[in-house]
Formats: sequence, C-alpha cells, structure tokens
Amino acid sequence: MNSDIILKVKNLKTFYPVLGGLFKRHVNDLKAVNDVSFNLKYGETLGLVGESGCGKTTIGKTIVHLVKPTDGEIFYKENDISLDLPRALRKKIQLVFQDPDSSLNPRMKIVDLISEPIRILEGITNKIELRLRAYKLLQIVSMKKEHLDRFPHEFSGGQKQRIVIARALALNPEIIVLDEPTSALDVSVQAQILNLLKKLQRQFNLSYIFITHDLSVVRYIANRIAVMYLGKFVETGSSKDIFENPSHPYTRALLSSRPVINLDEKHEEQILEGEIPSPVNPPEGCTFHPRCPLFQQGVTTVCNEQIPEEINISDGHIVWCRRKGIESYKK
Amino acid sequence: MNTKYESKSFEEHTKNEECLVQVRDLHTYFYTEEGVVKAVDGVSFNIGYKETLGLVGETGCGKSVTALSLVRLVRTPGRIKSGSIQFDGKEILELSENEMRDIRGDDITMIFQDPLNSLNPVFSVGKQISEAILLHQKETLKESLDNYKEDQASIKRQIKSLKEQIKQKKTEGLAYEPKDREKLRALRKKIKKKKIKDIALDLSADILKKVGIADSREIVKRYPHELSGGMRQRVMIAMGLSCHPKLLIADEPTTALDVTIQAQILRLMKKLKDEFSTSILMITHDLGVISEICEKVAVMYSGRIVEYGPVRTIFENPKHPYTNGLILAIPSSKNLDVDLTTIRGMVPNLIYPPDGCRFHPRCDHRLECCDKVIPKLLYFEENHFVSCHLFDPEYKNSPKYEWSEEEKELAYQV
Repeated sequence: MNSDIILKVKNLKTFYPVLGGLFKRHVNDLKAVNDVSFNLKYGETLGLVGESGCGKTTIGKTIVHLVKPTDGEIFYKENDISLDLPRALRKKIQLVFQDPDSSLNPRMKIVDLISEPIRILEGITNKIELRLRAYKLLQIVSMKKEHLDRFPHEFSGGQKQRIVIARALALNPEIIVLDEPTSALDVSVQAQILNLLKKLQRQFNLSYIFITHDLSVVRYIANRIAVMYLGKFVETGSSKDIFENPSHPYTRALLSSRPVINLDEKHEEQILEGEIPSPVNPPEGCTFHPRCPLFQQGVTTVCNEQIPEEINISDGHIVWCRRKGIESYKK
Repeated sequence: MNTKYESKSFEEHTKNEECLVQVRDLHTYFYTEEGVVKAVDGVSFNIGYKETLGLVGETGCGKSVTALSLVRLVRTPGRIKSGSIQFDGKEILELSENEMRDIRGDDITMIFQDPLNSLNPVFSVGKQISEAILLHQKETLKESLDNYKEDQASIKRQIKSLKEQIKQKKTEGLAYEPKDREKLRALRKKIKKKKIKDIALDLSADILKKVGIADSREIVKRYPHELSGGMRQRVMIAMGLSCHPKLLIADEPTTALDVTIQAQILRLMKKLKDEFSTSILMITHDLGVISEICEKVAVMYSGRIVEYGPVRTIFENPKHPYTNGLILAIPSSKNLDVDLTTIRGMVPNLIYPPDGCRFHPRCDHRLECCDKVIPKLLYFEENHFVSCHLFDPEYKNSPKYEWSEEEKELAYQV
C-alpha cells in the first residue's frame, strides 16, 4: 500500500433498507452510496460536492461507522476498518456537522462539552487537567478563557462552530470529516472558519474530507474534488482540473448554475431541467441521463442502457461518462 | 446644509425620482425585556417601477425586519417607531388595518425562505393559491365565471337544437343516425356546474403552469408534503404572483434549495418579472444571487444601509469598508492561495449598538470622528450612495484613528 495514503476507500456501498408492508419487510434499498472508491493522502483536503440527497454525507458517516457499510473496504493506514472501528482508532477520525446547534448539548457547559471526548476515550477524570486541556483547545480556535463556563446558547453561530471544531481536535485526530461546516454561517464568518481550518491543517498536518454543496468554498479549500450524483462519483480530479476543465455534463451544469459576483468567473449558461431522481429507483444505465443535456441533444445514445465508462483524462482526473460526449465539448 | 461641500444626502438627491416604493428614515424597534433592539435604525431606499432591488447583509442586520415593515407585519414587541413608507403614492404607515389587508397579497406579496413552513400542510396546493385569488381578484373571477356560464349556455342551446333535429328526423321517418347520438353525448359531458371556487382553482392551475410546473392540473390537487423543495418554492412564487402584484418581496427564496434548482428559480423570477412587470425586493445574504438577478443593491449593516447603488458598480468598485470586506471574504479565483480577508470581531449587539458609525469597531480605515458622528447616506457618484465618513467632504480633515496593538489583538479573538 502506498505509504502517503492515510485512508483508502474501495468499492464502498451503503444502502439504507426501505421497509414496507404489514410486517415491515425489507422491500427495497435506498442506494445512498453506490460503489465509490477514493484515497485520502496525509495533509490533503478532499472535497465532496453534490446536491442534497446525492450521498455525500453518508460517505462521511460511513467512514466513522455511524452507519454500517453494506459492502466494500475501508482502510485506515494499515488497518482494515470495513467492519468495525476500534476505540483506539476512533480517536483518529473525527466528525464536524453542519449545524453546530444540534451538535452541542444545550445543558452542558463548554468546558464539559470539549473535555467529554478526552474523558471518555483517554480516561482522564482529573477536573483540573480536563479544564486545562479544554482551555488550550479554546485558545487554538482563538476563543477566550471566560467562554469555558458558558452554555452553548450564549454563543453566535460562528463561535459555536469553533467550539465544535475545538472538540473535534481534542483527541489529536489525523482525519476530520467536515460535513458542511460553513453552510449555516454568514460569508464573513465563513471566511474566518475557513481560515481557521486551513491554519489548523498546516499546524497539525490534518487530512480533511470536506463535504459541501458550495463550489466556491470547495475550490478554495480542497486539493482534490469529487463530484457526486445519486450515490456515485461522476468526476474526480484536482480542484484546478474540475474548475478549469470540467468534463462531465453534470459538473459543467453545477458550475454554471453557481451564482458568482464576478462575471468573469461565470461558466457558460447551462441550466439543468428537472430534479434529482429518487435513489430508491435510480434510472437505468447512467443515473444522470434523464437530465443530461448531451443525451437530450442526442450526442450520446446508449446512456439509458449502459453504465458509463471510466475515462482517464489526465493523471487523477477521471470522468464517468461516454467518450463521445466528452469529445463533443472539446470542439 | 451639505451643499457647500458639494455633497447631497440620498434623500435630497432622489427627491423627485419616480418610484414605486419610497422608504424614508424607517425605524423599527423591538421592545424586549432586555432592552430596546434597534433592528432597523434609519433606513431609506427607493424601489423603481419594474426594478429589482437586492437587500443584502449578514444575519441580524435587519433586512427581514425591513421587509416585514413594508407590509406592516412586524410582530409585537416590535413596532415601527417612525419614518415613512410611500407605496404607489399611498402612505403605508397611515392606512387602517382593513386597507392594509387589501394591499397585502394583492399589491404587495411576499415569498419566504422555507416553503414548507409557509404552506399549510392540511390544504391542497390549489386551494391555497386560490385563496388569494378569491380574496383579491373578485372582478376577474366574475368575468371568467360569466364567460363560463355563457359557454355552458351555448352548449345547452346546441344540445337543444340537436335534440330537435333528431326528433324531426324521427317524425319524418328517416334512418336512425348513431353519429347524432354520439355528438349529443359528447356535448352533455361538457356540461358541468362550476362554482366560483372551481374557477379560482382553474386560474391557479394556469398560474402554476406559468411558473414551470408542467402537470399543473394534477399538482393543484396535491398537498405540500408531496412536492419537492423546488416545486414548493415554485408554488410559493405562483401564490405571490397570482394577483399580479406591483411589488414582490422575496425573503431568501433560494437559500433552502440546491444550486441547480436555485438557478432554475432565479431564471424563472427574472422571466416572470418581465412578464408581470413586477418590482422585486430581493432579500438575501448571498452576494452571488444578488449579482444574478438584481439591478440595484442596498448593503445593510446593523440596522442601517451602508451602501446603495447599481449592482455592477458596487461589486466591481465597493466603497464602504464593510462592503469591501464582504466581497473579499468570498472565496474566488483571485484569492485561492492566500488566506481569506476577514472582518475582525463580530456583528454588534443591537440593544447597545456602537455610537457613531456602527462599523467603526471593526473598521481598518477608522477616522477620529467615526465613533462620534453618525454618517449619512451621501451621494458619491451617479446613483451610487455611501454612508461613510471617508467619503464625506465634511470630515475630509479628520485624522485617522490609530489602532493600538492591544486593541487589534483583542478584536481578533472572538
């Protein structure tokens, strides 16, 4: 195994059972993540982008075993964590959620919130020591000492997100899964948090999996980007590849529908019709074909029958589409 | 009084402008137990005919309260303390509650951020859209009902004459013709008793079609939970446009939607604006959305407008330090490899806002006068107004405030 890879995910599938009928029989599967593979390197940020319901959050949850994977392999360094995440490794992978409100217990003080993981996973019970550790963590996210004894409701959204980040850092993790950490925040606060995350990454050599729907943010923070649609990757590559040479019709549509303030950055107009189909009954063949402009214009023809090809455009830039379709963009 | 410095306030400069909405020096306060929250503190702006004005600012800057003040829906303990809102020649703040109710939903309509919360889950979508039509479009309804009745009457006449023909043929002993029977049956099927409610439902279906819902006759019967987020927002827009309003207030209409759906909705709003010749007040925190859809933008900070002008001018050449900070805080191709510029500190508490310019504790270009004098919204260039002492000739000679290192350090902590 390559030594600079910290997390390796291979053919990961996560299905949620759909229960129905009189005795809650298992009638179908919601294929939230359907055959996804990627590697995460040390100190790297991998951005997962896609619309709601495309399975990006489920990938994050599966990695920390909040949801059991249905099939596939996950390796953390040399350890196979496909079936279970042992306590010793649990420390090393942490999660930050979108909504800081619901991830902080309103009845606990900040000092208890931050020191809770230390208490549980490191077994330290000395109150003074815990307090000291919590204070150090608060300093890292540039908050003040007096905040230790306050309750979550006394803070603004940005401060709460800082507290959540401090808690995630408590056990010196190596990977942090960031699930839309800035979506609920204003732009100026978002900028503060993004700067903080970058600073922490440099300081502790963290690897991030950054889940978001905001393309501007992912471009800023991620080294590599994977674009998802209905549980599958449609395009992966460095953020430069994705933004300067988007090759999948879905990526192109996403980029063009992104509202920008600078008109030079506007990609050519291409607005998708329709909405994302249900992952319970995904379309046959390429899951994107009912909305795909290439298929509608008749550039590609077999999309409703055959699954897309894996096309290597350049090193690390992979597109799952039809060769014919991609070539039509070059003209 | 400022004329000797060749600088005019916004109010003076736009005194004679023809516009649909004219808000002047609006103050909306909330009288809470902890103190008076000055949510909107001296806001003035215009919305022209067929113009889209974007109101942009961070959470808690008072943009939603401004919108609610326009339709007088501020809830207690909130109250519009003073100011004036001219809408189409009428003074909104002096109307009686009944007159106001006629305007709401007819001349001014509103779309909210979360379509699921603003739709009633126990009524079908069609019923909710037709509610507004039944209330405000009585004349149109009557007209359509009369038309319908006339149609029905003509069908009845046709049936009658057909019956007579058949009878006559019988008496004349001619051969029986199945064609006539079929015709009669088809005509009879067309006869349906329709009440005014059914007519309103038909109108709702027409409007739903205009907002891009293809299967509108079917959707009218659906309930909100059966629709997707984008569809619900389309229904809200249909509801807002059902009475051909003069002003549509959209409060974060696309924040809860995905980018591709957001693009669809924005394109739809642009199209409908031309079709219905409506003015739009677009409230959002997303500068990108403003840039897509608006012609003018007003940037709000802590209950006041700090900059007002055409969208492109402001985004390409922002003058106020806050606007500048906001624009630089957005990740873009220009700042990919550097740290993002942030505005230090936090949004001030609106119960005890800072004196003078409310932005001064976070401002890098602070002058000595900034914490003492409230800046006015002054003319800067064509249609571009800024509320900052840096651009006020009166305070040209005010010395720059020197931040001490300690203060700076403190400000960066949150």
